[in-house]
Amino acid sequence: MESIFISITAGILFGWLDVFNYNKKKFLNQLSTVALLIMLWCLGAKIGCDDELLRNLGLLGFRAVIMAFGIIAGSLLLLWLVTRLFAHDISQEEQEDKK
Amino acid sequence: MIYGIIAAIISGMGCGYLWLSTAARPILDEILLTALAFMVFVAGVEIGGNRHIIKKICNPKGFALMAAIPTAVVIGSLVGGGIAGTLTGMKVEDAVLVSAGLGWYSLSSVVISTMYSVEIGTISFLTNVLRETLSFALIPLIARYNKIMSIGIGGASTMDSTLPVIIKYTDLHTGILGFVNGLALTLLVPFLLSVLMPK
Repeated sequence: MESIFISITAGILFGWLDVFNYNKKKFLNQLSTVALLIMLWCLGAKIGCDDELLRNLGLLGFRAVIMAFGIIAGSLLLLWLVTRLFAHDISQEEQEDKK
Repeated sequence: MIYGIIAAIISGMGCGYLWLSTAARPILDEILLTALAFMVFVAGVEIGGNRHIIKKICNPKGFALMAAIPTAVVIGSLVGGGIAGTLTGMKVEDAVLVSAGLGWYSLSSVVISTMYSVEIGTISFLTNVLRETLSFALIPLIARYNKIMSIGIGGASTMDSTLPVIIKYTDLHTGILGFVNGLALTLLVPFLLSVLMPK
C-alpha cells in the first residue's frame, strides 16, 4: 500500500513540475498499457496456479458471479441517481472542457 | 484494448494452470506490485500535469460530487450485493459482509476468513476479484454512456489498478473523481468490515 501512495505522490509531483515533455509522456503512456497487460496476466496466473482456488471457483463461483453483478448493478443505479442530481454541474463542466 | 485485456487474463490463467505452482505466487505478487506502482506513477504524472483540472475540482460543487460518488457506491454495493446474495441462498448479513469488501479482495478475504468464516472469505475473494476483473471490461463500455457511472464499477480499485483504465476511457477530470472515490472507499473498507462482521 505504501509503494502505491509513494508512486502516485511522486507522479503528481513530477507532473506538476513538468519534468516530462510530450514525447516522454506519450512513451510513458504506452509503457503503462504494457504494464496493465502484464498485471492482468499475473492476476490470471495467480488464479490459474492455485488448484484449490480453481476447485472452489466452481463451488462458490456461482454465488460470487451473481453477487459481483448485483454489487455492480447497485452501484451503477445509485450513481445514475447522483448524475441526475448533479446533471447541471456535470454538463456545465463538459461544455467547459470542450471549449 | 478490451480484447487485449481479456486475452491477458485468460492466457495468464492458462499458463498459471499448466506451468506454475503456488510457489510462484510471491514472484507474481512482486511483478504485480511493480507494474501497479509504475501505472499509478504514470497516472499521477497525468494528474499533476493538469493543474487547471485540480483547481477546477476544488470548489464547493466539486467537493459535493466527490462526497456523493463514494456514498452512492457504498450504498449501491451493499444493497445490490445483499439482494443478489440472498437470491442465491446466502444469509443477508453474509451477503452484505461480502459486498463490504468494495473490490479490495486481498484485505476483505483475509479478514473475513480469519475472523468469521473461510467459506464466506472465499466467496468474498471471488466476488471482489470478479468485481475488479469485470471493471476492466465494463469501464470502457459504461464510459461511452456515462463517464461518472463508470467510476462505480471498480469500487476501491478506482484508486489504483482500474484508475488508468478510467483515465484512458474518460478524461482526467473523471479520473481525479475516480481516484478520490477509490481513496475514500479504501479507507472505509476496514471500518465497514468491522461494523458488519456478525458477532
